[in-house]
Parts: sequence; structure tokens; C-alpha cells
Amino acid sequence: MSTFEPKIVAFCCEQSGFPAAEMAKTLKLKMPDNLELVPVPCSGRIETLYLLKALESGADGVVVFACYEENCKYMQGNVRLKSRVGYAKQIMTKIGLEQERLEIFHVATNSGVKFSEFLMQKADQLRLLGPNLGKMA
Amino acid sequence: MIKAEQKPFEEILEYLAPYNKILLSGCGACVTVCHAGGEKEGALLASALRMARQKIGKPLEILESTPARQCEPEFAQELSDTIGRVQAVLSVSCGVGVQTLARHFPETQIFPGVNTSFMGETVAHGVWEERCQACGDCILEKTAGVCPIARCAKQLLNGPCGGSSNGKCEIKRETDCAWQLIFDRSKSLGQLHRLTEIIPAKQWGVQSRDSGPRRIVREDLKV
Amino acid sequence: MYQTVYESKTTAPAPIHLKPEVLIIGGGIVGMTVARELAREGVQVVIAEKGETLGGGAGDLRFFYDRPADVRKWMGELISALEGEGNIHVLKGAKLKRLDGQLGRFQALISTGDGKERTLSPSAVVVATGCITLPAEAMGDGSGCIGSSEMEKLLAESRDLPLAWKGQPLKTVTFILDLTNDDIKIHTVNAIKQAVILQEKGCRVAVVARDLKVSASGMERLYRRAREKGVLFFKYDDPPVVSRSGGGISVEVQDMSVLRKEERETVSLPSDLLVIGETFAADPETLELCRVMKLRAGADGALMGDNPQLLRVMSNRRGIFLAGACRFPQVITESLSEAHAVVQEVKALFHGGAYVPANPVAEVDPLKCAVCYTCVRLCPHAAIGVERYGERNVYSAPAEKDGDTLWGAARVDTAACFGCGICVAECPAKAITLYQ
Repeated sequence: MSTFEPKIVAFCCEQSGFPAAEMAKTLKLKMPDNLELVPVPCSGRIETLYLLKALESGADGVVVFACYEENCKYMQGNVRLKSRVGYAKQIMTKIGLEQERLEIFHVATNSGVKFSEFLMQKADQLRLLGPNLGKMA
Repeated sequence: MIKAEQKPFEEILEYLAPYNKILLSGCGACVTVCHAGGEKEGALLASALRMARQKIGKPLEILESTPARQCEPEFAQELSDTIGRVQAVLSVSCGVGVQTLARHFPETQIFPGVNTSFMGETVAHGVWEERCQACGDCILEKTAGVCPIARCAKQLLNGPCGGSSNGKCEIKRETDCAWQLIFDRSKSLGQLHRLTEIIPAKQWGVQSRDSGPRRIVREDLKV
Repeated sequence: MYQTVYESKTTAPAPIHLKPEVLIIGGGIVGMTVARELAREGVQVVIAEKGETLGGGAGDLRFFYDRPADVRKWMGELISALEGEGNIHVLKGAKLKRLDGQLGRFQALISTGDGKERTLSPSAVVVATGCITLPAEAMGDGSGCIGSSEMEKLLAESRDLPLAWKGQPLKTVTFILDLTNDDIKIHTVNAIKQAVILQEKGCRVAVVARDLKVSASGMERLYRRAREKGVLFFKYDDPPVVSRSGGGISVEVQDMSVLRKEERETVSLPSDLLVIGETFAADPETLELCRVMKLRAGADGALMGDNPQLLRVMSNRRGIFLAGACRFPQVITESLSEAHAVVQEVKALFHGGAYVPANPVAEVDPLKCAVCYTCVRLCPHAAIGVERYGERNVYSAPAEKDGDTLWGAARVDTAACFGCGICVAECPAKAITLYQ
């Protein structure tokens, strides 16, 4: 079997996920090889469409790093995002894509270690799952 | 306005099985407002369809276009160039839009992507309820602004029936009994006495669609 | 395309002029303090007080916990300073009926007790409406048990006289804390403050609490003084048991100073009088105000809750500030700190005379807008309204163009937008763009 390195698209909320990513980078923590970070002002900015488009455009897994509930700077952005992830997962079931390919992970600004650990675990999980068969060539 | 719901995904896949290049046509009006069609939901459906077809090794090319509405001839014409380049059209507009396109493009398959459900009201964000069934002869003046045709399971004109219980309908327990609502509202309007007036049976064959599809003409507007 | 979070625009949104006018809702100590400080800076202030007198919830207080001054005297001085100030206009019997507009140009419709209505147009609004107190939960048959505001009154009225309660000399008092509102400090502060005064007058005082919340400026010192004077403190896990026998009340509490639960003894405190704090609750009128002002209220009615991302006195709307007990019941010194914080924020906002939108701002394309109200409902900052400004729209056919018709469409106010992008993601017509 060829060495498949899963592509992960990580949407990072600028209030939590992105600072956590910066912290992980400063501490030189391990990151998956094929990682694309997309910073957003609030996880509430992430449209359901973007979650699917990321998969369609080549991602094997999509992760959203969002603030903990109650901690959203814009009150309910992360709550809206949660509903959208639920909707996207329903669509993924209908297409036949595995649920593990989309996940929300809650972080705070100082979660550099959690950020790195979660991504590495996700990469391992996706490696076992195999490539996303729905992505356009 | 018109409320609709996206058709089951498997059904849409079945319609599109013989094709490999289609247009997904949205509508910027009613289906946008109820989040069933329109640009956002259309794009979502297109993305899902592409991935589903990619997965089974039969890629499907989807062009996306969302005219402001699909029920006027001009809006349908806006799509003619694009339609010329595809094999079929999946329209996520209401049944009217699908048929408008069908009439203008007799050589192209136009598939419905949503089930047009009812004319309804937004009761809360994301929750829509049936309010009107276009009977063609509105009796809301007699029923304190609550329609028994659309909201009574039995379409009673002089209800309630014996099954009305605690303000709920015996057919669907979660549904409010329309005649309870009519009673309550008549009371708050000080018009309970109106309920003693018998509302005659509707002339379904004359006023409504029982003698075929209806037509409205305004002679003064005709060009 | 999923990486497209913002679009760029060459023209920046126009600055919003801010005239130095502020509306303060609530004429308690917080409202008055904000008014006084802002007026000194030349800001025109209107206080809309719903009652007939100024003073608010602090009216029951007589003693400060951290200084010897008399609260009523201090309050009186505050009120007369206000009345002498030209930049402050006080409306009594005033109620906010409607609030339109945004930062820099709010339109506030206020009705006053005399039946008149007026429209004010402040640049910013401060909400300082306080909270309410419910009567203290009686224990047992209710007699011999009073609330802390009654004790405050008793102590104030018996300045130089020996203490008496219902004609009998008052020898022992027990305070029971944390039966309600166990997450606020006020009861602890009042109890220790009153305990010190009582002990100094020769009373034997015990304070029974789940937690002694001394995390307020000067409270550790006051607690120490109370201990030195001989006030007894007991902590409990299980609430104390109150029983009445003969002419007195007995409070039974476990002695928690012993580590092993089995070895704990029950201490019995005979008391002439019990003091229990009144329950603080959100004012239902404040919740109605939230609806009028489109402010976010927490589950328990407290405004804005405990969001770590937001400065304490900020609300969900730019230009509207919150301070004092309407946020949650606070010790007077902390309420005043919040008042000062609001003054700082307003000064910073007004500095320069205009608000220049700095964050990304959302913009609606009126041509695509189907007026579904999704964005209006979901904007956490109440920044979006529907206005007639579109030349064309989804509901007009291409051939149709009536020269004068302007179509309704959603519009994002650039002064009120925080650039979160929630509306952009929710719009079913993809009619909204976030511009940097």
C-alpha cells in the first residue's frame, strides 16, 4: 500500500484555534504533513458549504477549531457552527462518507498542545480510514 | 409564501443517473426564504451530488445558476445559454419554476429537486407551518383569520369535531385544533356570535380546482 | 473557494459622527456616578429613572463595609451634586418604550410619568437598572428571623442605645448565609459588616456559611477584625438545622474544623435573632428592557453573563453599556468600579468625535436579498435591519422598472457590525459579503 498522507483542512477560529495553532508552531510541536489552515474571524463564519467544499476539493478530513460554548466572542457563532456541522454530517451520511471525516474540536488560545495532539490523532485515524473517495480528482 | 423541502437525496441521484453534465438551477425567492433551494442550498446539493457520483466512479459535472425567480418567462430565458450546454436540469425551485422551465425548454429534461409542500407562515426561525391551500374563495373573514381548510385536518367548515381535545387535533396530537383557534380568536375579537352563522359547503368544482387548473386574467393589464 | 473568508474593498466605510450625548437608564448609584463623571467631561447626559426618586437599590443601605461614612449622607451628596450639574437632565417616572438606530444615532422613545413622550437621540446608552430583592425565606415559623436590610435598619436606628428586638434586649444573633444566591458576595459582606457592629455593641454573634466570600477589597481585613472582636464563624456542608424551643431559637451546625466526619460534633447556637440575606433576583422589567433594546440576557436574567471574551461592561451591541446589579448582584464598591469602567469606555469611544469601523464589516447585496429575515434574526449584535433602499430585487421581473420604487432589503449598519460573519454563512441567497 502506498504511503497515503491524509490531507486535513483545519478551519481555525481567530479567537481560539488560530492562536492555539501559533502556539503549537512556536513550541515546534508535531503537525500532520498535509495540513491546510484556514483562519476565520469566528467559527460562525464557516458556511456549511465550506465544510463540504473542503472535502470535495481534496481534503480527506475537515476539522474545525472553535471556542468552547459560552466563550464565543460573538455570543453564538460556535453554536450556529455546531448546527451546521450536524447538517453537513447528515449530508455526508447520504453521500456515503464516514462521519470521522468532519469534527469540531473546542479549544482556547492556550491550547497549543491540545491542537497538535488532536491533529496528529486525526491524521492517524484518517490514515486507517483511507482517502476520501468523494473528492474530485 | 410557498414552502418546500429538499427531495430525498437517493431520489435525486436516481433522476440524474443517466447524465454526466447538468445544470442545477436555484430560485432566489420562496425556496431561498425557506432554505430549501436558492444559492446556498443549491450549492450544498451540488457539492454533495458531485461527491456521491465521484465515489461511484461516474463523475457528474454540475453548472450552478440561481436566477432571481423561475416563474417569469424572462427569468427562464436568462438560463437558455446555460441550458443549451447541459443534458438535463435539476431545479430546486418550487413546482411552478420547474414547469416554467419545462415549458420554455421542451427538449430538455427538467427534474424537481424539492417537494413543494404548502403555503405557509414562519412560526419561528427554521419552523414553517401550513396556512393556505389556495381554495380560491377565502373565508377568513368568517373564521376570525384562521383557515379551517388549511388548518383543520378534516377541512370542517362548521367545526369543531368531537375529537378536539384540550385544543389539540385528534388526527395529529401535536397540531392545534383549528376550530379551537377560531373560537379563541373570535372571543378576543368580541365576535363569538359569528360562530352561530352556518358556513355553507364550498363549491369546490366552481371556485376551486376540482374542475381543472385555474386561470386568472386581467384584461386591463394585457399588452 | 472555502478559503474565501473576506473580500476586499477599496473604499472604507464612512466614519460615524458621535455627538457627546448619552442616555442612562436607571438613576441608582451606578447611573448617577456615570452621569456625574461624564457630565464633568462635557457630555450631555439624560438619566431616565423609572421611579419618582433617585437612589435605586442602595436605598436600604446605611453602612459601608470599608469606610465609616454614612450611606444616606453620601447618597444625598451624590444626588444634590447631580441636580446642580447643568449637563445632566433627570427624567422621573421614565420608561424606555422603543429604541431604534445604532451607535451614534440611537432614537429612544421615552414616556414620563406626566403622560408625555419624547424622543432622545443619544450617541450611546448605559443600562444601570439594578436588580430586585425577594423577601428572605423564612425558616420554621418565621418569627425571630429577619432579612439583612432589616438588621441594617435596626443597627442604624439604635446608634447609641442598647440593642433591643421586639422589646427584649438583643444578646445573641446568628447570621445564616448561602441558603440562596450562593454565588454572590453581598450576603457575606453585609453579614460580616453587621456582625462587627453588633459585637462592638456587646452582642454575641455567630456567622454560619457555606463559604465566606471575602474576595472584595478590604474584606480580608474586615474578617480578621470580626474574628478579633470575637465573632464566631462556622462553615457547613449540610444546611444548619433551626429549631425553636421556649422563647429562643437554636441553630445546629456541624463543627467542620474536625477532619473526620464521624468525629464531628454538632454545635448548638442559641440565638435571640436570626439574620438571613434577602434573595436577589433579576428584575422582570430589565428583561422587558432587553427585548426593547435587543440586548442579550443570560439564562438567569443577568445581562451578558460571564463571557471571558468581552470586557465586563460591554453588551452585545456597540454603544450600549451595562453596569451594576443588572449584570449580577454586586457589592457596592464593585458596582461603582463598573460605573467608572463605563465612563472610561464612553470617553474612549467619544474621543475623536467619530467611530471609524475597524473590523471587517458585512454588506448585503440588495439585488439578491429575498428579505427572509434570517440575518436580522441571527445577528448577535442586532446590527441588521430591513430598509427600503434597493433599486432592483428578486421580486421584480427584469422588464419591470418603476422609477420611484425602492425595494426592501436587509442592511447591515457599519457602526454596529462586529465582523463575525455569522450572517454571511447563514444567508440562503449568499447575498452577504464580509469586506476587509
